[in-house]
Amino acid sequence: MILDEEVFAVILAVSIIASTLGIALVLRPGNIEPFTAIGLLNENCKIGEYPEKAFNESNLRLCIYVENQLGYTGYFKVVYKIASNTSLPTNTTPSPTPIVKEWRFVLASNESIETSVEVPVYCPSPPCRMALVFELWEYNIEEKTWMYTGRWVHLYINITSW
Amino acid sequence: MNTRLMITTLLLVYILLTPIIASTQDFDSVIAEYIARVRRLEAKNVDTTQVVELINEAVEKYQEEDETRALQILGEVDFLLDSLERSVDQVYYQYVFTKAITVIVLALIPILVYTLLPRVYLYLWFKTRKRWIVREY
Repeated sequence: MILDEEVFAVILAVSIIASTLGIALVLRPGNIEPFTAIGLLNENCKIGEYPEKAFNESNLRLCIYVENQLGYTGYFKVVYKIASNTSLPTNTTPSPTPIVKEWRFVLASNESIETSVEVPVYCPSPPCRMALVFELWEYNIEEKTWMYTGRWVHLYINITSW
Repeated sequence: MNTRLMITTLLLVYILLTPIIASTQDFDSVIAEYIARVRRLEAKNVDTTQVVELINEAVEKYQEEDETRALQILGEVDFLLDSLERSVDQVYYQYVFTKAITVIVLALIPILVYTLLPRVYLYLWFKTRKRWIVREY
């Protein structure tokens, strides 16, 4: 035979693998591992060079990054709180401290947003070390309530008097 | 006709939503209604990018306390969603058809390789050697 049988078998095997892989890619579900993400960036919307200290009752400029990989459009809000060591949020519970500010976004699946924010910084008796906490919440459209996603970021800052 | 319909829809949405959106909670539930409609369309593989951008813009305006603009944008969203909902079945059938054709073509590749490759190879082999002269030395 002109076409070697072994070469033909290899070509056929490669075509079967390529075809199976192609079909699997076409028929795979949209999002296998759904997740959301929140990130804190500096005032230039870059990682690093975060502010370490601030004056009491001043404003700090930071950048928030939110990503939606849930596989569907979601309504999110980022909640800003000022917490201490003992009142930090966990992966299941938000921080018990009051909400200082919040920002809402509607994000399609595979979409992310980076937004510059200005947050007030204060503590009851400066100097003190506080955590600027940013929690990610998602609106549950069936129950019509905001649900804590368990995603949060924080930045420790030394607050001094003027 | 379309412009008149859009203006009427915008006005209706504005009139209907103004008393409803009395607080942020109400605004959230209004947004949730739109997102529920967007998700129903997404499930049928309809491209909702423009609608989502508009809803986000409305949310931004509401946060900036520009409720009038937010309601105007929501009116546009309503109009866009209506038109997308009308064509949802057609888009979905097109999507299913394209996917089915892709799968069939991919499944045919090994069969075509098995049946056609030896013939094509032979054809090319003979074609490239058709001017060859066999000589005896």
